Parts: sequence; C-alpha cells; structure tokens
Amino acid sequence: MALNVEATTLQQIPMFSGIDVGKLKLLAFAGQRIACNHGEIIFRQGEAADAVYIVLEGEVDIFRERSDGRVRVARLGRGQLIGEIGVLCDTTRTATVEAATELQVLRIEKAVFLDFVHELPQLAMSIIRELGRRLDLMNEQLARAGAPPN
Amino acid sequence: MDTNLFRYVWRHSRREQLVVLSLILLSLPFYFASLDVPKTIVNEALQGRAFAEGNNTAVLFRMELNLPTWSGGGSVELFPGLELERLPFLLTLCGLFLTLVLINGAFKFVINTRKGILGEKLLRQLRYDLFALLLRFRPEDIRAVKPAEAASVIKDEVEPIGDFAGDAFIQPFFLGTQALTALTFIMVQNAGLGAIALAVVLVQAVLIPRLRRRLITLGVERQIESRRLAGRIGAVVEAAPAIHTHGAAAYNRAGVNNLLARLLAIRIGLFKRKFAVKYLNNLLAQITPFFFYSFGGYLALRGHLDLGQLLAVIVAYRDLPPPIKELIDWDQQRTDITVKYQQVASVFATDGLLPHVDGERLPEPPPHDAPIVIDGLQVADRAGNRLLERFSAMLPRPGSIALVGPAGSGREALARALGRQITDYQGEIRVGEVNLAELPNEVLSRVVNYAGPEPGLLPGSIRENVTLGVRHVVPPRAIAGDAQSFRPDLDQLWLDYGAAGASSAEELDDLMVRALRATGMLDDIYKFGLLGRLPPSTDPRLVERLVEARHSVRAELGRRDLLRLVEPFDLERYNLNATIAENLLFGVPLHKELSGVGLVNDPYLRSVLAAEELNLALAGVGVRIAETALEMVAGMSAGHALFERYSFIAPQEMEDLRHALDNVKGRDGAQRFDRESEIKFIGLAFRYIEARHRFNLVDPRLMGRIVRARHRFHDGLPKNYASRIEFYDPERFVLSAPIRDNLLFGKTVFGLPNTEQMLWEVMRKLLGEIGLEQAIYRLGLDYDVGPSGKLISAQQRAAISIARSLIKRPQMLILDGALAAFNPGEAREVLNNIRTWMAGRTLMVSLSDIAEAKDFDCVIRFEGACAALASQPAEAA
Repeated sequence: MALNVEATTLQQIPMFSGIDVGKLKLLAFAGQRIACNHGEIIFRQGEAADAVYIVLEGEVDIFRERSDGRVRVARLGRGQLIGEIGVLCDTTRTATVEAATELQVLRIEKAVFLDFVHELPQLAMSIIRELGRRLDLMNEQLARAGAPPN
Repeated sequence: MDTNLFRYVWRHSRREQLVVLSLILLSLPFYFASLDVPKTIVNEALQGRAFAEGNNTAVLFRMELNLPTWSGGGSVELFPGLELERLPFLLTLCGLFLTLVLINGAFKFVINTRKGILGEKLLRQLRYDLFALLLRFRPEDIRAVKPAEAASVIKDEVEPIGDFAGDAFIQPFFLGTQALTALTFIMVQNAGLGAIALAVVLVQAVLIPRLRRRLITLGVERQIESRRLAGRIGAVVEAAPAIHTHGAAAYNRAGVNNLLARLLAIRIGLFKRKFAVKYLNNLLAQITPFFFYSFGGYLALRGHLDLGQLLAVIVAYRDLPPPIKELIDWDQQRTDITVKYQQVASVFATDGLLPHVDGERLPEPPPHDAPIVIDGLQVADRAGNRLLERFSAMLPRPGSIALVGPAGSGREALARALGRQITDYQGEIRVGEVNLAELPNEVLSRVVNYAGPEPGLLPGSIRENVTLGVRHVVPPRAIAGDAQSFRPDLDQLWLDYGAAGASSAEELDDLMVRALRATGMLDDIYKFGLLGRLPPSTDPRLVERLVEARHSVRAELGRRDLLRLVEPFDLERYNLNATIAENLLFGVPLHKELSGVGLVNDPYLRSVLAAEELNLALAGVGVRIAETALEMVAGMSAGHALFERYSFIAPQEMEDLRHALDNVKGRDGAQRFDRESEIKFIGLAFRYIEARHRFNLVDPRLMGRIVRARHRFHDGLPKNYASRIEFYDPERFVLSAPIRDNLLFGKTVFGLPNTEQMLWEVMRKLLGEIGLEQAIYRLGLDYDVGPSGKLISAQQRAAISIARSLIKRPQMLILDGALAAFNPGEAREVLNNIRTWMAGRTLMVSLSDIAEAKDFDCVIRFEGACAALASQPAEAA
C-alpha cells in the first residue's frame, strides 16, 4: 500500500526514527502525496514556509538565489526532509527547491507538522536531537576550517 | 448560592411546595375514612349490628349536627340518610370503600406527579444558576476551573440533588402525616393497641438507622479495600519480571490473599448486617399483628373492642411500616445529598464575582473621546510577583497606543487589566468619569474590547462565532416572554444588528466578510464557500448561470493547460478522487436516509451489491481500512488531538470497530461477516477515496465491478428513488453537491502541486464575472469550525476572533498577542487593516519591537514590570 511505502520512507529519516510506524502512517495520511514533473518548482526562496516535504522518489535540487543568478547548493534524494527549518522557526524559505527528476514528495502542511510536534513528545525530542546534531556537525566543520594547517 | 440546600429549595419553589403540602393535608380525611369504612362494613353490615332487633332495613349516611348545650342542646338533621336492606347496605358501603380507594389513588398520583415536576424544575433552576454563576467568575478564577469538572458538576453531580429537591419537604410531610393518621386511627380504636403500634414504630425509627449507619461505614471500607486490591494487582503485574527474577510469586500470592481475606471479612459483615436489618424489619412488621391478635382478641372477647375495630387496626397497621421505612430512607438520603450539595456549592464558591446585570438597566457607556486615566495601577500575580509596577498615565482618545516591551513584561499586564482579563489589581482605571471596574461586561465590551492570544471559539459556524460579538444586549422580546421557556428563535432573537451598524442579515453578512477581509481570512472564506452547497431556494436563473459557468471553467482550464487537475465525472469510468459511495451512485443523495449508514442499509442498493457480488469485496476493503486506521491511532486516547483531527475514523467509532474486527476474524484467518458487521465495514469502505487515502485498496478489477454496479443501479432504479438522489449530469446543477464539484464537474485531483490554489483562481475569476462572489462568501460563513475551532487552522481561529471584535465596533480595541498566529509579514498587513478599520476610534496594540511602533500616537515602553510613557501624543491641532 502506498501509505506503507511512505511510512517506511519516513522511518528512514533520523528525525522520525524513534516514532512508531502507526503514527508515521497517520502523519503520512494527514499529508499529501504529490507528483511533480522534472523542473517543477516545489517552493521558492523568500516565500512563506507553509509546509515540509519528504522526498519519496526522485531527487531535488536546492538553489540559493543571489543577485547575480542562482547557485545550486545541494541535491537531495529519497528520504530527505526539506523545509523544516522555515516551518519550525517561522521564517520564509531560505532556498528554492526544484524537481531534478520526475519526483514524488510527501507534503505535510505547517499546521499539521506543528500539531504532530506538539502532540508527540518523542517527535519534539527527536527534532531537538537532530538539530543539536547538525549544530554539532557545523561546529566541527567550522573548527576544522579555522584550524591552522599542519 | 445558598449554602443550605433546604433554604435554596424553599426559596425557589415556595408556591408549588405549599400547593402540594395543602393537597397532602386535603388527602388525609379521605385516607382516614378509607381506614374507617372497613370497620363499618364488618361491624354494621356483616355482623349486622345495624340490623339488630330484627330490623330489615337500616339507615346509612344519616347526618346530624349536634347543637351546643348553651343554645339549648338537641340536634338538627342535615341529611336523613338512606334506608337500605342488608345486601344493598353492604354493597353501598363497599362502593364507598372503592370510591375512597380511587380518591386516595388519585391524590397519590397528583402529588407524585407534581412532586416529580417540582424536582425537575428545581434541577433546571440549579443547573441554570450554576451556569450563570460560572459566567460571573472573574477571569482569574475561571481560568482555575477545570472545564470537564465544571461540566460534570452541572450535568451529572446535581442530578441526584434535583431528584431529592422534589422530595425535600413533601416526602417527609406526606409520609409523616400518613403514618400519623394511621397511628391516630389505631389510637382512636384502642389506646392500648395504639401504644403497641407506637412502640414498634419507635423501635423501627431508632434501631434501624443505627444498624444502617454501620452498613454505610462497611460499604466505604469495602470500596477502599477493593481499590487497594486493584492497585496491588496492577503493581504486581507491572513488577512481574522482578517477581519472577526473585522467585517471589508465592509471597505476592500470600499478600493478595491477605487483601482478599480482609475483603471477605468485610463483605461477610456487610451481608450479616444487611440481612439482620431485613430480618428485624420483617419481624417487627409481622410480630405486631401477633400482639393485635392476642391482646386485641382478648379485648374483643371481653367486649372492650369490637371485631370491626380489631380488623381495621390490623389493616391500618399494615399501612404503617412502609412510610416509616421510607422516612428512614429519606433521612439517609438527606444526609447524603446535603453533603453533595455542599460539595457542589463549594466548587462554585468564589470570593469576588463580576457585577450581575439583568439586561434591562445597563449603564450608559462613557463618551467615545473620553480619555483613559490610569491611576496608580499595580498588578501582581497570585504568588505576589509584580507584573506591573505602579503606573499612572492619561491617554487621550481617539488615538493609537503601542505597548512595547518583551513578552512577559508589564505590557501584557496593562493590556489585560484594561481588557478585564485581570480584575485583581490596585489603583484605578477610568474612562472619563467612569471607573472601568464598575461597568458590567455587557457595556465594557463595547467600550474596551480585548483580543488576546486565545481565540476562544465556540463550536458552530464561522458566522455564529463572529456574531458572538453582537450578542451582548438582552433583547427586549426575550425579557418580555416567558424567560424560562424554550426559544427556537434564540439565535435570531439575540442578534443585535444595530450594534454592528447593520440593518439586515445580508448587511451583517457583508460586514462580517469585510471584517474577515481585514483579518486576512477572505480567501479562506471563499474556499469554504466553494465547499458549501447552494440552498434549494436559490434563484433558478442563478443556477442556470452556474451550469454555464461550468463550461467556461472547463474552457478556461483548457486554456491554462490545467485540465489534469480535475478528474471529470464520467458515467463509464471510476473516479479515483471520489469516494466509493459516490462512484456507486454517480450522484449525491438528497436525503439523510441515503447517506452514511442509511445508504449501506438501503435495500435496493444492497440488492445491486448482492447481484454484482460486491458485498464481500467491499466489506473486505472496510476491514483493511479499519486495520490500518486502528494501527495509526494505537496507543492514543480518544481525546488525543491528532486522533480527532487526522484519523480516518472518529474517536467514538474506535472501540466499536475494534470489536467488530475481532468478531469478523476467525481463528483460521478467514473473514466471516454477520449482517451487522458487513454493514459496518461496507459503510467504512464507502467513505474511502483511493487517491486521497492511498491504502491501495481499489484495483482496476474492483473499479470495473463498481462501474458495472453503478449501471445496474441506474438501470433498475425504482421510481421513488428518482427524487432521492441527484445524479451527475453535464447539463444540470447538483444542488446537494458542493459548488466546487459542480463548477468543475469532477473531483479535484489529489497529489498534484498547488492544485487547489490554481483551481480556485480560475473559479473565482469566473464566479466574479457572473456576480456570484458575495453569495459564495456568505456560504463560506456557514463553515463549521469544530469544537474550540479544531477544524480550522490557528491563524484562521485568530482571524475569526479579531473579526468578532471588529464587527462589534468597540470604542477601543486592545490587541494583545492576537496576531501571534500570523507570520510577521501577514501580521503587519492585518494590523494595518485593523488600524484603517478603527480609524476615528482607539486602538491599543502590544508589540515587542519599538520599530513597529513608530507611527503610533502614543507609546508606552516596558522594562520588566516597569512602564514609562515614551512618547506623548501630539497635541490635537
């Protein structure tokens, strides 16, 4: 069943790994599966962050819009969560996301996502842990970048 | 609230109580007579005393008035009586007895009915009083009330109090006088027998309550021990692994055995005493006749008592114990209910209440340009922490005032004190000459209106929620009529168009739409409107234009290359974006009887399903839906917000479905449906939309079978069904389907990006062209927000809450965190709209950033609990 596949994909995302599969199915059920053609824009930098997306099939490109054009900063594939920072921090989109292939994503509206964070303490904990982990990673990268060469 | 139940009951039902008490008094002579007649029957008719001395006839019912001796004595005959032979004499007396029995029965009937109605009326009064009291709680106090507790007190806990209230005075009076009459009757016959009866009654009245008291304590002990046992079992189950590890099972068995033994001892004690009381009751009831037969018989033989008297005494005595027993019950109930009443009263006891208004004599609001004078205002929380340090200022009106400071600073305390969210403050707030604290809410809400971070929506439509703002005036017609009776026109009656500056329902609707536009909810209202259905009374020309618009929508979608966003209704194809039920009918039922469970139960549809052998297949689909849906909500309580908002099944269905699933699944894994479970699961399958729900349950084969069933359903359709279902037809408008489905003549495709938005734009453009915009907005106002607004988003809830304040047109509006649900850009836009709306009046906004306050007339800055006027308003030119 499609919902099963979606829930399994969600389970592979570190942020959702501690949540039992039934609740992930409910999350997927509350979300919307969306099919995009190659080149279709998922959201644009500067727009209000109204949903998070999870890549179910295919790949997306992340672009930073600059005055002198746009720069691709990453390509993300199956099982990647996109747009959660804007939703959690109530900011606008910090990048543009475009389908790099034929794409299937799960769209979870901001209110729905926040509802789940609100109602499932395990999910809130996992998010805190994941964000902490990223911060740690970034610190490490910064330290490495700033360290004097041997 | 009276602290004494009896005082409360008497105060609220004095008149009716007196009527019933008089009825009881009136009934006593008849009761006495009904005891007396049997004596006459035995003595006069049967033993023939009246026919002594060989008379063939005797006189019955002769009435004489004995004159007092001072007037010369003698007697005046009032009624000569009837002269009857022996048999007619007996039958007439029996007839009299029957009449008395009927009269007594009628009295009992009337008294009991009136007593019951009295109790119900008091229950209503008590509930109403408690609810009214709750609404007069100060904001600080009402926040401390647990909603479920208040609801359960008003709904459940007062119920026995109401039952008892009817009995409070009447029951003891009724039973007491009845017992007394019977006792008096016995006394009159023979003082000795009367003394015996009195003694027995006294023993019953004293001894039995004592024995019962012990029964009650034993009952409480039993309850405590049972609870302890349950707790122990639970604890042992939880710690079972540790118990196994330590081989301590035997010890724990012994522990539980001890508890069981104690419980047994209590229960045996209870039984012994219970039957001892019963035994004593029966004994007393039956031993007394022994005295009557022996002692009374002795007196009769001696000629001190005649046989009729003895018989009448025995009959009268039979009537004596039940009232005594019921009196004892009443007394026990009294103790019980008095405690309950005190508990209820204590839940609703609070120090300060808001002023009560009866709606007729409301004080005049101060003029709209009277300045706000804050004089030494100081606010502290319950723990004594200062929320606002002593602050004084004079704020001219109209104007705009910004309260700037970090969240948690004094800005909230000031806004809340001004908006009567806090009433427990020192100092004074005046508007002109009027002290704000003295204004009742009904007036205050029009002078100063507070919109805070909690929208406080009631279940119902958006319209009902927004118009709450103009329901503060008690309509004169509501006062004039019987205030206690049911009003079917309540909603209309309490709508004060004038308060909103409107003169009709249409104008009020338009005003609400304008207010919702200001709070940024216009698009949502439009979308809700498209999901609505046109009322049957809609102008047929308008409906015709909508059918034409359907073609234009299609053409426009084609031009914009958006046709893939809609899956059109096609008689020959299964629609993956519609429910299974819609696919079967290819239309929309007009009546409730053909929707939901009604449809599954419909004999014609069932015959079609059976002919296509679809019953089992669909029930199987339902089973898989139930399994998945239950898996999704496993471990969640029925009240869990996620369960309520997102689950396929409603929380109240869960237990039922779990049960049905257990029944359907045999040990061998095969499914067996009885009629009831088949209906349940087919009903579940009927609501399933493959493209939306994505359980992968509808494959091409099933689609084909459902389309075949659809044709069979249409081909053999009985005549009377034609008026019960509207079928999809490209040339006809389906009134019972949402406007959106009608315009698109199909279903929105799930699973494509931005579908709704793009379709809405097309529909909105074309509806605007045929002048239907306003009608759609009005339909949007009918949208149901759900309990506490759970069916809409936080931002929509906030928008409705602010719009509610806007249509009220208060002299001053306070926005204190009301825009928190909006993102910063939207919040700025909404705030600008509100400023335009409030032009000429006063707006106070709490802000955290000083930059946002730059064009306000007056700014008050907060550092912690300290406030300072940062910029004085420009002097009026």
